[in-house]
Amino acid sequence: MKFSIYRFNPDVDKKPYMQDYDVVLEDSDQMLLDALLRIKDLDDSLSLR
Amino acid sequence: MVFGRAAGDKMVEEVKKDANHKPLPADACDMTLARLNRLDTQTEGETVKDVGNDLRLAMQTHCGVFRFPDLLHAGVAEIDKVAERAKNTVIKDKSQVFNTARVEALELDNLVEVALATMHAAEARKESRGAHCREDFSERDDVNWLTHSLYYREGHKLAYKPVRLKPQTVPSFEPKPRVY
Repeated sequence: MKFSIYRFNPDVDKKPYMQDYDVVLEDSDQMLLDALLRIKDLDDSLSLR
Repeated sequence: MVFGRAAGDKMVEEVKKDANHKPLPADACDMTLARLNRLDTQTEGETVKDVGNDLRLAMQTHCGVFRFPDLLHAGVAEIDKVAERAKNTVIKDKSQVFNTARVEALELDNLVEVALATMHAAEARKESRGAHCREDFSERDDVNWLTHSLYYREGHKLAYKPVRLKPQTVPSFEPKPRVY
């Protein structure tokens, strides 16, 4: 499944931008949080809480 | 914020009253900075997620509510291995702002300390107490084990401290097995 996420890192970015992630979801991934945690496995710079 | 400030002021006042604190060593910050520095410079290693999952699996398998001597014994070796691996975790995100990857890596280090203490103390404690049930020692043993376990990281040393049975302000509650 493809996700477009609005991202911004004040250390390096002048302005926010969209970043796309392709992530394979399992049947057990029911909530958006499950998908976000899969994306965090691919790119640990995605911070969320 | 108001209460935080008041609590902080009160703590400083109380701490100053008691002169029994040991002075902090001059290099007290070094260990903390070394932990941060390792994560900032490490470029290869295992993911925090993999080591964390194995830590959870080891604790669940070897040190659950029902405890078995062979599983506990194997668990000590298992958790020592996980502790070694946790020294070699890597994070890709090195940013200084809102970096949850770093927080999770530091939290794993802290979990390792707790897991080591739990596993080593559980393996040594030859009794059943509270909710925890050992297959080979099914009874509570107040003669030998009415003690707090103290774990030291150096050499995985264990020490024991007596349980204080005389509260200062309320009548004491005599320890006894819970029977239903």
